[in-house]
Amino acid sequence: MKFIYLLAIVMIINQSHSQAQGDATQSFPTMAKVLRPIVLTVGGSPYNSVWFGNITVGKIAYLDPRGIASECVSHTANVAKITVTATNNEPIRLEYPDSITLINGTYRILYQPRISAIYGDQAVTITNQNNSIAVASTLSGTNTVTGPNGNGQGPALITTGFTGPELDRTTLFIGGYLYGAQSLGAPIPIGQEKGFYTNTFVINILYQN
Amino acid sequence: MKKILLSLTAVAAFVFAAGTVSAQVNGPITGKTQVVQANANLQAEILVTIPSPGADGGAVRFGTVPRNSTINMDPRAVASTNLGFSSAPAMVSITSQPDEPLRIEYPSAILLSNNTSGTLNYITYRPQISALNDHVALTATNREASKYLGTTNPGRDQVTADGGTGEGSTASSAVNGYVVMSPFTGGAAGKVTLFVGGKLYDGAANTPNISTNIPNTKQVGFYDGEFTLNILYLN
Repeated sequence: MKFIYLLAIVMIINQSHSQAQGDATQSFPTMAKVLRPIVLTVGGSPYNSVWFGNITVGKIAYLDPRGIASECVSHTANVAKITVTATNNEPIRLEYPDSITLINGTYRILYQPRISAIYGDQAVTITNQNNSIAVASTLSGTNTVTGPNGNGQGPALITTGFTGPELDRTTLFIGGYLYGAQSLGAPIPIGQEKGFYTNTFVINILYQN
Repeated sequence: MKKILLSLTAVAAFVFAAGTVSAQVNGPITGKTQVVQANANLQAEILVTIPSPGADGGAVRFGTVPRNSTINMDPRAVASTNLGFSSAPAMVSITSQPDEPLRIEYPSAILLSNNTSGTLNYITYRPQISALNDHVALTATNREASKYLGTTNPGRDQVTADGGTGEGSTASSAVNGYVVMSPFTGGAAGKVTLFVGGKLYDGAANTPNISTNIPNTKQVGFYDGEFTLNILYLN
């Protein structure tokens, strides 16, 4: 009696499994737009990092990625450069923090990245920086590296080229502001500890669509 | 009971498929991450003091000068010629981080204008600057002890490099860069004084000149202008 009871249970399970397989046959649309991998090339030294040089207390330092309005940075200050190589004329999203804390031991100041973009793999020159455009959160039409009225803050949208040589590349120039640790927009206090402040931050670059 | 089991299977299949598509289409596979370093070397504020405009040292003042002559207000006071009695160089007192080179930027040539006749007339001012450690008074002795600005880093406790001229070489408003170094230690640490003199030449609208004396035909009267001295850390 006991044996018969167990056998009945096994049969029921088999029957249920069989029915589930048959009724689950459905189709779902599956789409993928396959693009070439994004390749990032960081500028050679010194353009592999953002360098403000010797700056002063009591001020807000600004390293303009467009090379027009820099203030209170040293003569040797330089932007960082990243060249993005990707499928041409394709929206690309840049993600980076609004601010990063630069550290000197236990002392801190705030760094706010600002980025500009220009088509092609361009050298860091004042002309190329002047011709670059502060990145924006939107795009406008074709053949524009980024949207109008951007202020260089992320997240932002850029495109690679639409026509012409090096149409699959866009160069980013990275500068930004230095503020006191108390808040963005505040000058570095007169009494701030002097010395070398540094840190790193991450830029995430991916296809928008 | 059977229906419920089928339904769960379908949902599970859908989630699996959607997850696979999402991973392939969106960023994580094709996107890239780049780490960027940001650096700054925080130093003392650069403080600049200039006497009031009416006082000696508050402006570059040539006084009354003759036409057709070599007009030179040597900031070192050793080669000045054809200046008015009330002439005086400007004086700039700088306080900054000790033993840290500063870049001094100013143009080679600046046009001064006069509108006495109702028509603008121009002459050219070619700045020349010398430097001395510490904050010092505007005296002939201190001016003579100063050195014309050079363009390279002079090294510790040298106010500026040897061999400098303190003046640009072309008749251009392009900015030139010179370097001074404030003393490392002692009471003068972080202090430099600049004496700002220069020469006057002929000029025309948009055409500065650093070779021809002011001609006898030039409109007489008061010519003035201004220029920017930009002081920043070199490194």
